[in-house]
Amino acid sequence: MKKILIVEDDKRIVMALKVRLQAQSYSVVAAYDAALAMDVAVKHQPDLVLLDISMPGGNGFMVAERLQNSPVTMGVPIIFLTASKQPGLREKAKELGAAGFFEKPYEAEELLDAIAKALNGLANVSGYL
Amino acid sequence: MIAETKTPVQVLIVDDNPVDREIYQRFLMAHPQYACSFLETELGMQGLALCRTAHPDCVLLDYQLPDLDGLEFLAQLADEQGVTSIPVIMLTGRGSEIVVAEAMRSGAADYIPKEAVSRESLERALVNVIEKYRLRAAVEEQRRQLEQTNADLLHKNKEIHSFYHMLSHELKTPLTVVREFVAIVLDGLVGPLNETQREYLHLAKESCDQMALGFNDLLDATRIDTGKLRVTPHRTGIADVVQQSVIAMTPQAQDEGIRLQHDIDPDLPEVLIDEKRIAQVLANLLSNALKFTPAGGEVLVRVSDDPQRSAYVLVSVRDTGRGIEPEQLSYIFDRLYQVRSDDTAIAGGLGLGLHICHEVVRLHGGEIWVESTPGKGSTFFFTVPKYETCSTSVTREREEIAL
Repeated sequence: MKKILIVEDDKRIVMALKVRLQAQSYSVVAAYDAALAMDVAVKHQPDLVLLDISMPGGNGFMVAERLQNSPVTMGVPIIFLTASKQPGLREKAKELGAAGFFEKPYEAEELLDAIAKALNGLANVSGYL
Repeated sequence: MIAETKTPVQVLIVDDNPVDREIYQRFLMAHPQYACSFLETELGMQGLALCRTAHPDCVLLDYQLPDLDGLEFLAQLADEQGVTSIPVIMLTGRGSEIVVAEAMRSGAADYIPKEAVSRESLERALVNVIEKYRLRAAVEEQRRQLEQTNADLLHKNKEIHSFYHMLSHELKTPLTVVREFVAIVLDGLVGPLNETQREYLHLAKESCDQMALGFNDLLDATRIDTGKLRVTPHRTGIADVVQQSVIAMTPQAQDEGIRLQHDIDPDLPEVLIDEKRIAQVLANLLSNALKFTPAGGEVLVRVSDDPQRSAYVLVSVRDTGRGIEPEQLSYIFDRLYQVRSDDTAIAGGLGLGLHICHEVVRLHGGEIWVESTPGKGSTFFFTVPKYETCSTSVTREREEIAL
């Protein structure tokens, strides 16, 4: 069973994502702020990380860099989720080698498709960036 | 009567010769415009101290002082007060042209050779320097105020911008929660639904989408207002963008009984566009066309060479709706333009869509316009630049910056 880490400060969004992911038979762990994300990731070693960008305790890009620099979590595909429309976020996600970038409200069907493709190593052709 | 209208002026006389100090006072005592009062000292250092404490309106300064020379005095006054704050009239001895030039460079407001000191010359010099400094101070004050206003506006601009970003972020998060839980129930993840339940939830989800589009439009409009809307054009085909936009609107067209068709010239060259932004323009135009076209009507999207300007591709969206009154045509791309309608179901939206379309097309270097016959329908046109023909144009530079 593939394990997905959700890093997101809004508990209701975490809950909604959990419902979707568990319906697809993924196992789900969550971290509710950026500072805790690394600990949870190292402890649970997820197969993919869904990462919010604006959070208390640091932003998602910082978390992504830490994940990529840690030997335990290096290479785990990352999909960003954000409610922000600040210019340049998608480009920054691309630069960091993300497997996907979604604005909130997201289309669940597309998000699940992106997750499935990323888990199968097809992130580069998924078209969700 | 005249005395009442005289401006009080305090003159500081710095001169080690008591006879000269006496003469200057006597000359200025009956000044036609100023009611002069006097401070006097024989030493430069004391003169500087009085400048600091008494802030005289003018200084009469003897060049040769026992403790300082005139240039040192000016230098120290500038350090303390800024060169321009108190006008200094330098009184110089015979044959001191070099000193005079140096003093004027160092910030003296005027000079009078000692042998030329008279009632008239002193009176005139006093008026000249005080008037000059008053004007200079007024200009300086205005400049300072303008700078302040400019800084305030820039700050406000930033505040408005970040406020809208914050607002959009804060509202979109709960909107996402609503939409997603509606979608979860609608998709049957928590049990089967009957037809009515499905229909109601579908309406709820659609409304969430409409709200999300509204927030994005609001943000774009703020970006236009603050000059921050950007497009990042790159080389691509236009057919895909148009086809995708048409496909996205087809279900809505079918629901409303409208024929939605497209006619794309297959031989078009590549264009230089920001696909997401041009898709946004098409979505806006198509959504308007469908909104105003009755069931049984037709919406046609056409893409061809621009017959007027060969460097551009022309896109048009034609509907068979109710058309636009001629007097409204010139406002239609304005911010907050709204179709006046008794039918509130037809109106609606934030009225920002066409304004954003206009700006997006303009940023691409293209044009957008509309032709309409009331009762028969409207056609919206816009142009986007071809890739190969804008090798020397600004648009190409823009692409390179974007890359």
